[in-house]
Amino acid sequence: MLRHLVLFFVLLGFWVLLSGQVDLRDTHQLYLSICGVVSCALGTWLAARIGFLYDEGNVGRVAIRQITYLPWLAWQVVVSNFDVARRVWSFNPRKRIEPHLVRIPYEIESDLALAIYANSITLTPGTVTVLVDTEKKEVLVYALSKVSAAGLKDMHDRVRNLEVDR
Amino acid sequence: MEMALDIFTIICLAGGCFFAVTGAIGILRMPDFFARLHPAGKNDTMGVSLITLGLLVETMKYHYGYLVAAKLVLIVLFIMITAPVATHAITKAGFLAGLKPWEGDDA
Repeated sequence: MLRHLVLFFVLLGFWVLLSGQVDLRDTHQLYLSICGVVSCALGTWLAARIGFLYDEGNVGRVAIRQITYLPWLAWQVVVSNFDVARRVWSFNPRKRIEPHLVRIPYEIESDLALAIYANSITLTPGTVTVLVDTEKKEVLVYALSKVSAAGLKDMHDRVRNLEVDR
Repeated sequence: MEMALDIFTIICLAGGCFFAVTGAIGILRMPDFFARLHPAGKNDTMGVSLITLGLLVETMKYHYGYLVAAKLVLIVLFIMITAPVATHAITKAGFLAGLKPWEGDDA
């Protein structure tokens, strides 16, 4: 029940942020606020129905640990963006890239952290997640250069620190 | 002070435009399907982020309030979450359809 409440209030806060209609004395805004509360409740109910609340582990804990992960990821995105931009603008791009597919094993347990890892790989330019093989515990990554593939080990360790208590 | 904010905005907007154009040029210059997705999917993310950062500074300058600023931050956040998913979906579709990555002209 606690998780339902947390999700409900997160959704409600998000709704208030987007609409800004919180003056309850105004009939129009009151109507919109009621609509917001109803749709947040509906959203919570649907999320509980598809198992989002319990199957994904403690989302709140992962979210709090993002605080140190996100700035690092943002910096990686900037660095690798410059790298890709340099290759795009180079005189002959065909000579400046060495595209290849690599299989990288991972040791991440939860689905959420795995999704964060796969998304982070794709977000940093120079690497794209092609397939996630949950049976062999491998991600198939398409890398634009040898250098961009090398940074993924560090990213893997940081994502692994995001999940559960280690 | 306002001057400094404006200069910062101009740098951000110019940088954002540069990366957006780089993404477009990259689509044309890269050799194959997979390589094209790199600049297409991600230099654009960087471009949008920089442009939004510039706009964020302008909302502060003209005192549009925190709601507008918060919405701008949310735009970046959602693009950062959805863009990789779209790129991954396209790449996976290409891979499953049997496309082989280009590995050099002489290969």
